Order: sequence, then C-alpha cells, then structure tokens
Amino acid sequence: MFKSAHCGFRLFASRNIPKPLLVLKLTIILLTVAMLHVSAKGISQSVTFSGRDVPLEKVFDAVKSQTGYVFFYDVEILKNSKPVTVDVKNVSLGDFLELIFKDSDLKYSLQNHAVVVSLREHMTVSADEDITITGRISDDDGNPLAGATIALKTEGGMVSIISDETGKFKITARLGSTINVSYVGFKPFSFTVGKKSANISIALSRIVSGMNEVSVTTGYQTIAKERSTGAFSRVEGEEIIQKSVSMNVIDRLEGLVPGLAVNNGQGADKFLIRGVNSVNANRAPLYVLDGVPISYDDVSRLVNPNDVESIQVLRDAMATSIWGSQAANGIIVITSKKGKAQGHIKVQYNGFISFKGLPDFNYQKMMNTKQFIATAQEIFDPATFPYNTVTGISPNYELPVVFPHEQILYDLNGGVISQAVANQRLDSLSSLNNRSQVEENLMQPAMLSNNSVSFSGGNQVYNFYGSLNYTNTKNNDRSAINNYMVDFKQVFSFTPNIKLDITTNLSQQNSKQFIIPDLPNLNTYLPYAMFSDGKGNALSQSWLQLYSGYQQNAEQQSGINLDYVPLKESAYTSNNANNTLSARLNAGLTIKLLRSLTFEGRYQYQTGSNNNYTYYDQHSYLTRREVVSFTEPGPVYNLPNQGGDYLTGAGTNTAWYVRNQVNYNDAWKNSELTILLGTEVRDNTVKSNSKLIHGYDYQTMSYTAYNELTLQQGIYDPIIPNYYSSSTLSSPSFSASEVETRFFSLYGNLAYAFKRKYNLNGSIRMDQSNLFGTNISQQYKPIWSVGSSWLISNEPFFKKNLVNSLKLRLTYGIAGNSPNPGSGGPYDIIQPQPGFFYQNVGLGYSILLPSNKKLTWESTSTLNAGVDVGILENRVTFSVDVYSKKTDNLLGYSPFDPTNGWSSGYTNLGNIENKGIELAVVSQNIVNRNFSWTTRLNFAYNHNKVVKLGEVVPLTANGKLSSTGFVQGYSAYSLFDLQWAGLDNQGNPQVYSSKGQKIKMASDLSLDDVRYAGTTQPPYYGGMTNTFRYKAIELSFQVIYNLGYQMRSYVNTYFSGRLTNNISTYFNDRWKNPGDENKTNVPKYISSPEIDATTRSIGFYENANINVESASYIKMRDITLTYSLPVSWISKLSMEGVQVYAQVNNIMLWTANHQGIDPEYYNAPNGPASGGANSGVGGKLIGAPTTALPDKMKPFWTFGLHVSFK
Amino acid sequence: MKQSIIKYLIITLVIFLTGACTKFLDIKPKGVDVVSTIDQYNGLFNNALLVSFGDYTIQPGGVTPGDNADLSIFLSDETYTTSPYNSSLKASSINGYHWLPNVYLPDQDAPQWNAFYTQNYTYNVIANGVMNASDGTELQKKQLLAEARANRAYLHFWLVNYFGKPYNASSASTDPGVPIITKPDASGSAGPRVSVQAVYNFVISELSAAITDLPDSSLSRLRLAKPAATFMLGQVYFFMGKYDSALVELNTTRALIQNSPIPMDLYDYNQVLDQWTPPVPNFPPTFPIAPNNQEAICQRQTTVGLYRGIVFLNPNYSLYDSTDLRLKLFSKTDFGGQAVYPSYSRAAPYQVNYGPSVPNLYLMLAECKARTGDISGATADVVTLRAHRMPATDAAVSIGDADSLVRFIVAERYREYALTGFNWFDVRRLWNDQLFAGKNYVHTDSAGTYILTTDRLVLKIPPKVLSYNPGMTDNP
Repeated sequence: MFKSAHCGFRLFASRNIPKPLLVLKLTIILLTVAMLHVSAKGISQSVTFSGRDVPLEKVFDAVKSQTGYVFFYDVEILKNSKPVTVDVKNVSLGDFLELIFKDSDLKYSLQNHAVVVSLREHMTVSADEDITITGRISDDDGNPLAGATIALKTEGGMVSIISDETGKFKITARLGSTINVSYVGFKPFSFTVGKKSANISIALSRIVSGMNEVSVTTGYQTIAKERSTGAFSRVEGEEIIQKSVSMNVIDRLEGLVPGLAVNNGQGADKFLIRGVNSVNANRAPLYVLDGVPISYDDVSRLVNPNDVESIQVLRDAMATSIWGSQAANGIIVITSKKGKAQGHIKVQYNGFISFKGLPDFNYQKMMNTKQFIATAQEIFDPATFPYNTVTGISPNYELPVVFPHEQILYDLNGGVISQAVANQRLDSLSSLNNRSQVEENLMQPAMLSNNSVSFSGGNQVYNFYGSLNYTNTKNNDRSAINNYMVDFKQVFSFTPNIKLDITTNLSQQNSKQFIIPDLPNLNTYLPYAMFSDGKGNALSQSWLQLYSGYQQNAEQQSGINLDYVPLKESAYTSNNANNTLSARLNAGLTIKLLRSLTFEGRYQYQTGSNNNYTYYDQHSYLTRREVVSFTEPGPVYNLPNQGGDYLTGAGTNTAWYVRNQVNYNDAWKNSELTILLGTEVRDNTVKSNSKLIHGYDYQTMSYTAYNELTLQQGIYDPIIPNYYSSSTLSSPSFSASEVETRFFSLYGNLAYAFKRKYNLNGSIRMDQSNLFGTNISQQYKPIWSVGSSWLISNEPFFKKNLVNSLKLRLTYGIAGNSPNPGSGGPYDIIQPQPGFFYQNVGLGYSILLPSNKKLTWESTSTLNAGVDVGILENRVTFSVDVYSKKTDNLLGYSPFDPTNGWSSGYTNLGNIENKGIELAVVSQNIVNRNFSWTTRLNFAYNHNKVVKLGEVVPLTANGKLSSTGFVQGYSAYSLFDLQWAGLDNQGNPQVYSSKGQKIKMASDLSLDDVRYAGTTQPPYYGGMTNTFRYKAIELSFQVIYNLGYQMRSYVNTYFSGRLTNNISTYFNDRWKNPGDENKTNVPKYISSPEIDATTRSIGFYENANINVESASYIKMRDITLTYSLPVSWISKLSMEGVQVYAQVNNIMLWTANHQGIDPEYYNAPNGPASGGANSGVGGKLIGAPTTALPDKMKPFWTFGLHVSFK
Repeated sequence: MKQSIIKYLIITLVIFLTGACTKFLDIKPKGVDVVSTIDQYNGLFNNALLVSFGDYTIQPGGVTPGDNADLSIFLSDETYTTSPYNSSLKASSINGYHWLPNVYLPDQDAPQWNAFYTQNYTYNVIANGVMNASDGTELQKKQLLAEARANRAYLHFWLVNYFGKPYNASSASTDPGVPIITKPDASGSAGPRVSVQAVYNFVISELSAAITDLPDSSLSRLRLAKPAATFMLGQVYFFMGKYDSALVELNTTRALIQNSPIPMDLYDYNQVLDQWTPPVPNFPPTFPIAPNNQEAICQRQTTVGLYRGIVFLNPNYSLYDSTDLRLKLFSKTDFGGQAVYPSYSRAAPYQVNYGPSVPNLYLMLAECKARTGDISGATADVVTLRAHRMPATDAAVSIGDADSLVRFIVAERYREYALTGFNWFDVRRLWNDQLFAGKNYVHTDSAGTYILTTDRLVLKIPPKVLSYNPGMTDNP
C-alpha cells in the first residue's frame, strides 16, 4: 500500500519525471482514494513553511512531505506563476493554500488527499469559442489505451467517440464544456475544456483499490462496476493483512463479505455462500487465483496473504455462471499484486507472531482425581462385572483391561486386601493429578509466526513483484509446521500491443508429528495416571493396554516385552516427516489484434509433490504389540521380531490449464459493447501411493522378509488376536491411487451499456468432462445467465441531493455442480478386489457402482435483485441484495429397492430452495484532518428448505432424530428433539409423545413425537469492522456474529458400564434416590449395559429439548492497535513507513447458552457425542466412555510489524 | 466493419477448433474400470463378498458390511436362548426366535432378502454381458455365462425357501414365491412375485442349462463348476421331494468330485480334531479356512460363530452320544472357563457352508436312497459320514425299516448342523411329511413359550421392500 502511493509521488515530483513524460505538455494522473488515504497516514496536515521567492514547485514539494498531499497541475501553468514569499507555522493546509494562491492567477481545489491546481477559468475562457482537441489516452504506465470512450456533453445531447489504436482521439468542443473519458478497468476522468486542452495527454489510473469498488472481476474479465449487473463483493488486500487467525487468506474473509458464512464448528461446512446447494456433492465455493481455479489447501500453500491485492466474492448467477458446472456454490476470486512502473525497487517487510497458548482444561468440566475416585467407589459393581470376566477375553474377543482404581476395589471385594489398605491406596490415587504432566510432556503452547519480505519495481516495459515468506506453526499436540514460499510475478510489455505476464509460486512445507501410539484422549485421561515419578523417571501405564496377567502370559509366550511407558514412546517415533513441495507457473498473454479486438491467453502449470514417512522403531509399543499379535505360541514369529514398521507415502498433483479468449470492445454513440468468447481446457491428475514395511531397520535401511500372504489370510489363535480369535494384516503393504479429471469448456459473455444508464449482461457456458462413465451427449447442458442494471442516478430527472448514486440490478441464471469423478454413469463400474482366496482362478473384481443412465448435473437457478446506493458523495455506500435459489436434480445416495441389487445408489434425488437477503454498508462516519472513523457492516440472512430428498421409505422416529440434518420438508442442517417429561421415579428418562403421554422406550416413539428444533447452521450472520484513526494511531476492531441457530448442550453421556476414563462432573448430578427426579434431569447410572439398553432409552435425555440451546454468539474477532512511527524518525534509516501493531483476538462478547460453551468450535448437531471415542484403549470398552467437549479457542495475542523501505 | 466482423469470426473459429477435441475427454480414470474383458467378467466371480450370505453396501471408499443372513439360526427348532444371554441380540433375531409375523421394522434392511438379491446383481451383470466380452473364446464365455446362471438360480432357490411356502406340488403354482430378477437395473422396478412353482421351474431350467456348459472342475472351491451345479440341482429336487431325480444329480456330483484337482472329501474328526485344537484352554478347534476346507465343493456360507454364549442347544434335545466328536465343537463355558451356560453353545467353526458340501452330499444321498428303498445304500452313506465324526465302533447303523432310517438320517442332519440354522430348511421341508406328522416345534425363554405355526414357516416380505413395491402381495 505504501508502494502504490509512492508510485504516485514519484511520477509527479517534477525532478523525477521519467524522460518520456517530460515531453508531454500536461500530465494528469488520478490516483485512487485509498492509495492517497494510506499515504497520508501518520503525516500531519498542518504546514510550517518559511521562504522568500520560492518557486511554487518547491513549495508543493514541502507541502507534500509535510502533509502527504500531492499536487496535480499542468506543467505549463506554473511557468508563468510567481515565486511566493511566506512565513507560517502550523497553519492548516487550507489556510496555507489560500495564502500562496491569493495573488496568483491559479486556483486550487482539495480532492480527497490531492490538491488540484488549475488556472482561474475566467482568465482564459471566452464563451462560444470552439476548440479542436487532439489527445492521447494512456494508462499510468504510458501504454496507449485504445477504445477508451471520450464523451462530450453538448446542447444537442451526448457525443461520444473512442480512441484509436495508439490511444489518440480528436474532438471539437466548446470551451468550458466538460469531457468525460472512460475505459474499462480504469477510473473515469473528466476535464473542463480550456484553451490549454488542445493538446492533452490523459493517463487514466487503473482501478487498484478503494472503497468505491469501481471494477469487478470474474476471473475471466474485469469490467467497470458501473456496467456490471451481478452481485459482487470486494475485499482489499489491506483489509486482511493484519488478520492473524490463519495464514490462509480465505479464512481471513470472515465477517467481511455479505453472504459468506464461516462456520468453524466440528463437522460443519466451513464456508458457504448463500446457504447450501447440495446434499452430497460439493458445497464449498470455487476458489480462483489470478483467473485459474485452485484448491483451498493450495491457497494455504501458495498464496502469501501479504501478496493479495484484492479478493472478490461472486454470489449470484450473473457473477458466477461463466464458471459453468462448478459455479453453483459461489466463487472467491483472489487477485495477486503486481509491480508498478516506478523506476526503483521498493522493499517491504511484514511480520507477526501470535501466542495462542494451551487450551483451557477447566473449560472441559472434567472430574478432579478426588471426585473421580469417589465416583469409582460409588458405582463399583463386581456383580455385573465379576473379576474373572474382566480379566478374561470377552465373547466379542475384547482383550482384558483392569484399571488401577478398579484393581483396588476388586482386591477389596475379593478379600485380598483389607478396607484400611484399600482406603490407603485409594487415597494415594486421589492425591495424584496428572494434568500438569500432560501439559508439560504431551502438549505445548500453540504459536503462529510469519515473516514476509516483498520487493517490487519496474518501468513501462517491464515490472515485477516478488516476495519471500516464512511461516512457523506450533500446535498444542507438539506438532510443528514450517512453510516457505517464494512468489514472483513479472509483466513484459514487448510492444504497446503485446503483453506477457508470468507468475511463479513455489512453496515448501515441512511438518513433524509428536506420536505416542495408543494414547487415550488427553481430555478424558484418567486423572491419576502419572507419566513420571518425582525424580523424572518415566512411569509405565501398561494397565491402559492389557490386564497384567494377560500381558505377562503374552510376554512369556512371545518373549517380547509389552510394557507401555508413554513418555518413552515419542522417542521411538521421532523419525517422521511430512514434506510438500508445490510449484505453480502462470502466464498470461495479451495481444491487441485490432482496435477493438484483443486476444487473451492464460496458461498454467501446477505441480505438487508430497513425501511423508513415519518410522515406528522396534521398541515402539505399536511394533511390539503387532509382532506379538502375529506370533503363534512356540513362539513362531510370523512378522520379523527385529526392526520396526516403516510407513512411507508419496503423492503428486499435476494440473495444467489453457484458456484462449477473444475480447471485443467497442463503443458507438450512446452504446458500449463488450463481448468475450473463449475455450478452456483443464487437466488435473492426482497420484499417490503408500508403502508399509514391517521389520525395517532405519539405520541400515534393510528389512527382514516375511510371508505377507499368510498374514493377510490371517493367523489363527495367535498370542494376542487382533480380530476376534485371529490376527489379520489390515493395511496392505502397498496401495496406490490415481485420479485424472479433464474438462473442456466453451464460454461467452456479453455486456452492453446504453447511455451509461442501462446495462445488459449475458453469459453462457458449456462444460464437458471425463467424469467417468458420464454420457458425453448429456453434457451439452448450457449454463447461462442474464442480468440488467439501471443507473437511476445518471438519469436527467434524478436529483442528486442526499443520494448521489443509485443503481438497480436484476439477474437470473443457472449454475451447476457436477458429480464427483467416478460417482456414476451409464456403465457398471468395477474395482479390483484383492482375492487372497482366489489363487489360480484369475484376478478379482467387484462392482463399485451400478449403472445409472439418467444421472445429470445438479443445477441451481438464482434470481437476484440488488440496489447500490451512494450517499453524500459516497461517504456512505450500501448495497442490498435479495435472492431466491432453487437447486434441482440434487445428487446423492438415495435408497433403492434392494430387490434390484442395490439398497442405495448415486442418483438425482431432490431439490433445495434458498432465499436470503444481504446487506453491506461502508460509512466514513468522520473524516477529519486528525481523526477519522470508518464503519463497515455486513449482514446476511439465509433461509433454506429441503423440498424433496427422494425418500421412498417413510422416515422413522429414530431415523429422524439421528438424521444428518437433511430431511425432506425441513431446513438443511435441521436439528430434532423430544419434549422432555422429566425422570420417572426410577431415575430413567421420559419424554412426551405428541399426544401428551409419557414414553420411556424408543420403540414407543412415533414420528410425530420428534420435533423440529431449529438449524445448526446460523441463518443470520455477518460482521462489523470499525476503524478509528487519530494522527499516527489507528484502532480497529472487528465483531463477527452468528445468530439464530441451535446446538445440543454438553451433557454427561456416561450412564452405564465400567468407568474406564475421566468423566464430566455433571455425572454427579445424576438421579440417585427416589425423589431426586424432582431435583435433577440427569438419569441414574445403571452398571449393566444390557439392563441400561433394555429397560430405558437413554437417548431420550441426550435428545431432549432441555438439552437443545441457542448457539448464537457474538465475538470480537480482533482488536488491533496500530502505530505509525513518525517519518522524521525513520527516514534516516532508509525507511518510509514503519507500523507496529498489537492485536487481541477471539474475545467472546456474548453467547446465548448458559453453560459457557463456545459454540464456534463446538459440534452443534451432536453435542457431547462429538469428542471421539476413546479408541486408544485396546481393552474392554463395556460402557461407552464419556466424551470431552471439543477444545475452544482462547483469546490470544498477536504482535506485528510492517516496514516499507525507501 | 463487415470485413472486420468476418476476421473476428475466423479467429474465433480457429480458437474453438483447436480446443475442441473429444479424444481429450476419452480417458479412463485408474483404479476403476467398466467391465469389458473376459478376465474382468471372470474376475467378478473372484469376490469374497459373493461367498457369504450377507448383506453389504459398496460405496466409493469401501465396503460397509451389513448383517448376515443368519435368521434361520433363530428360527430353527433346536435353538434355545433366554434372558440374560439374549440381551445383546438384535430385535429381529428375537422376533425370529419368537416366530413373530413381523421380524423387521419398516426402515430396517432384511439380510434374508437383500443378501441374495445384492449378489444376484453381479451375476446378472455377467449373465447379460459376458457373451459380448471384448475378448475370450466362445467356450470361455459360455462357461462364465453358465456359472453366472447357476449362481443366480441358487440365490433364487434360497430366496423362495425364505419367502415362499415349502414346495408342495399341489399348490406350488398358486403359492406366491419371489420376484425373478434377471436384468441388472439398480434403479428399476422389481416386478411381481411369481409362484413358487415358477421360481422352481426357473431354478431347474437355469441349473440344467448351466450344467451343460460348466467345466467338470474348478481350481477354487469358491467357484462354481459342474459338481456344484449338479449338487444344487439335486438339492432342489430333494427340497421338492423328487428323490429319484435328486439321486441322479447327486450321484453325478459324487462321481465328479472323485476327479477334482483339489481334494473334496470328508475330514476324519478322529484324525484331525486334535490337530485343530489350539493349546489354549476353552478355545474351540480351528477349522481350515473356506478355500482350503476339503469338505466344501462350493462354499456359500453364513457366519454362525458369533453366538457363543448367546444361543444354545435346546436343553431338551439330546442329539449327541458322548463319543461323538462333533461335541467338541460346542462349549458349555465362556473362553475364560468361568461362566457356565445353561446348555451347549456352538464354538466352531466360524462359518458354515450352506452350499454344496461333502457331508450334505452323503446325508442327501442317504436320505434319497432310504426314501427310494435302497436301505443298504442309505446305511452305507450315513455310516461313511458318521465314521468320520466318531470312532468307527460307534458309527455303525443298523436299521431295517426305511421310515425309521429316514428319521435317523434326518436326526443325523440335526447332529451335523446343530445351531447353524441349516435345520430350519428341514423343518420346512418335513412340515407336511407324514413321517414326521405330529411333531411340535416349540421355543421357550424367560418371557414365554412359542409354538411354530404353518404361516410362520414363511417370512413376511420385509416392509422396506413392500414400501418400494406397494402392489406386492405379502405373506399372511
């Protein structure tokens, strides 16, 4: 941002005018508001000047350096001006200018942050005199602009002509009349015809940035916002540069774009534009970088947020339909920065560090050790779980595990120890607490830091922009990621008519994991399980894995130690890495063929390769246990008992892209027409393979051979079975996959403007792909849109008072969503079926997908109406869009009649409707010399309904309760609940049926008893950013909000079975004695899982309406305080601008729920069932272990620095 | 102006034509394919999912196993289960044990229906496509076609024995059977139930046609060759009570398996059971896995081993002599030897072959011979089996009366197949047999006593299937 402003200065400061410009008689360059606005930051607007007979140019330089205001003037007019003599201290700029122009024949006007100096007109203009103007129009690099519109308002109406190939034009105009010059993608310019205008050179300023959003880009073309009809939103690079939430620029868009919903909840769709358009196909928007689609992950890897010029979000069909069959979910277009013709190299540094700390364990509401031991004693039930059963193999071949707290209680119960000894042992367990050891040994404070250096420069024939970027991420799980990025963009202007741009992006990402095999969930870890003793010696926790008697027997038979010492384990798995190298080469060629015809080519090659490996040393518990599980008594080792497991993976992703396009641009009297036609070819190939070798020695890089066939067929009755009574090798030693997708597309777009008031846009596209088995003839399904807009404020009858601009837009169109590759088509699709049992009779295949000849794309039609309003000379602008979308032919797995062979299949099964409204407001509330206040507000509302979902079988009550959120007749992401009727006098849950009867068992539930409880995707969402600036200090804060949605509360889910891990303190609120039902809603504990399952329906409690709460929240996403160091301090250090900032992120302002849950990272549809099963414990899971709350993100701090060098 | 428009058009056309290339899109993604070559048609048989009578769902990303078609275990009369052992059973299993009309809930998949029809799809893809395979000889194609038709017929045979009345020549042409599906059309409509007779006719004609083209043997006992097809046809006649016709087919099988390149014979439990028994106490013998099990002529199995400690031998049934080695396949305790069950629970083998097998061949041969008056032949066959299951001295049989011999052979079937569900099909087959008149079939548990009625010999059509086929007639 400093860079662009600087470029303006250099072009104007007379001593630095590049030679070609010196010959020009008049140079006028208009800079955009934002560039100047930024340049003025931190610089005073009062002037101190003292001098005698100083040429005006010198005065201007002084004012520029003190205030940052730049001067626009005709070099000619200063020739006759007198030097001035002034002596003032700290006068305002306005007063100062009055003073120096008082006695001259010049006048001035202040426009934004520029001073435009001109001749006093009455001095030169005589009425009714015509003058022939010969002019030349160029861009700010001096390249001629052909086809620019030169419009002259005469008494007889509007006359307009366009510039020729060399940018020249000739027009006769009356002195004092006004001429408007405009060109697509450039800021329009108007001037009053004077005598000096006879030979005018006009350099139009490219639309670079600014709150006025004067152009929009779809990735295929950039057209003036004024001429567009679609729903576009634009976010400037500057607005996201200080967001430290993530290094992915897409993540940084939260709250900045109306209609873009960001949902960080577990299992939720992270990004949705205007609701949901699909049930089973892709729901995420299409991401586009510099005109070419890119995946979300590649955005992380290849896009340095500091290099982003702007991001546009395309929302309606008019904006998106040129992207065809991938456009239904909206599009996010990222435009990267490029160099400027500025004559010298400009260097900038950006860096920040975020301290995210450790998660807050108290938030989990887990029991402390004392509570846990007390609970264990309360619910211990040796009758249900006799010692000889828990120490033996269960009927389902679960291996025995007995936990220390249980062992004491069993010993007491069996008379092995006395009450006193038991008490003493339990007390000593109670006195332990492993949390600090967990945090110290298994976790680390999370941290994100980034350093980025950019350099740019160039001249009229060549310019470049490059950056180096390093990001370091440390996660709580002790993993670390280093990411290095190099970006370089060059633009060559071979001739005025041929231009080539080349962008190279390179990135290398290295990460390392901290691995302890079979480690239980850290939030539900048994609280007394210490990892080391007081002297720092690592302790064994073998009891987590196997009952000691069983373990000893296995060790004896196999001769292999099976101790499990967590703290020693990470050393055995420290040899692991995951490295990804990504490269992207993007080139664009523009050739001006004829005056109004341009050829544009865009070519890209992108490749990425990933290599990863993990080595489980032979001392690793995973390796030892695996060897034992394939050892037969004897011992007979079927896997090598030397060496470890070596797992390697490699993947490559290669994509190329070719786009050839012709643009036709012409204008006649009152009309402007832009047409583009193009073809596009894409190919994307993803290959991967993984290998697993047992018995590998990392040092000598060799392995011991073993019989894989035997292991795959299974070892029967090994020492420790891994699957029922046998052990089977579950992961193959080699696997590979390759997916190649190809697209061929034809597209066209038309934009017609009449009298700069009426716009008509149209777009059409056809896509064909190799999506496996699809019938090519069915792919000629055109995707199209039409749009119109009316600039009422350009009508003669429009009175510009309060409202200075007013535009109405209306669009309708269709966008698509193609099926996933290989998801179905007119042929039966088969896949290889490994057949160890079919030796000698050929390879094996199975049918993966049945044929479906009727499969077709999902198509989404969107009707959008919008209004754009500018008030008080655009001090306040707002846009409102309303839309109605209908998605037909939803793709998905629909149940089929099993009689025909498939109980479900991929098919077109239904439709969804979305309706909504979006509002965006930008208001410059206060614009003052020293103080300014700007507000940006976004609001969106989306309502949707799954109209039809191909449900043939009537839904059951249980099916509805446990649905994934898409149920015919309800909104997407629906949540269902039951009407709570309290506990019965036995402490078991009851709900009301729709007829008002109390029900206890799920089998008595009927469909009507299941009630709609709302949606788990916020229907109201958006954000507000306020920015205050006082002199060199800027304070900005962003509030984001997600409202009107529901979640299941966090409740205790442990009601039965053995106590195998830590549980929520809510368990203590459970029903214990008759009468408790009047005090609590938490059902009683029943030790026997069978009795629990057959005498009551515990799901009634978890799904009851008392446990559904509003998930609405408002968060302060960030508060940023920025200070710009005074220029006088830093200029000696060759610096031009230095800004330091401190930011605090993620402060919860308000939540609707009363439990203190942070809904942002919560699993709204499932609530407590979301924490993930405690899969680490290889033993008996009788009684599902309770789950922990998902960790929330705590408020965290960020500190950053921007430096721009001279 | 006009000239320039023409120029534009030409330029545009050139650009379009360079891009348009249909061959560009004509590539096959790797990892999957469409079935076209003879090796691929052949490979479709080499799919372990087709060996088990179990439901499954394939979606990109993997196979989701559904339930086993093992309801017959609970329907069979020698089965016993009660609280608390039955607490981990699915509702449908308990409903089956109670011989209730409605076994499944409206949204439940019924493996007895789905498993067979799911496998039927693959055979239909082969049967409808293999003759157009892109390569391969006419002989190869015909062999694969025959194999698909025989497999398909056998699936329909099991279906009609779950959902149609036991075959009764006098009423079969009006008794509703099941839909016959011979075309692969996943999203199509099933068509009506045809009569039991029509299904049997279909099965017999398909098997007969297949036998002509099938090879005399296969290198895999998971594949279907002539010995298996003749066995199946013999089994169909056996179920129809056409013992003469059955005998012809089964004798062919017996002759063919003598020359099989992979051994097909009975195991002598006197010899092998000790080798199969692991040193771990309370663990059952380890059977050879299906592809190596020489008693299998063609494995079409269901999993029965999951019910140790859950379902038991009816305590009122005393099937085994103490020397019968088959007793070793049962257990009265859990694996730890701690919990003692109310009766014997099956512990091995894990899977039981419902398809062509050597023991069943001997049992069917014996019964056919006894039914057709060949008492010595029948005795020899049943003794051959028994001598492989117990010491020779206890294996001898001496019954002079044909009816008694038939009853003895049926009892031998119960001993061979106790708690595998296989006997359920004998219950059905012998329901109207005068030799077994007056026999009552009773289940009991802690909740009550249940008596089998004629209607409940037949499963009702699963409600989920009816919801797709509103016009389909249901069983009473």
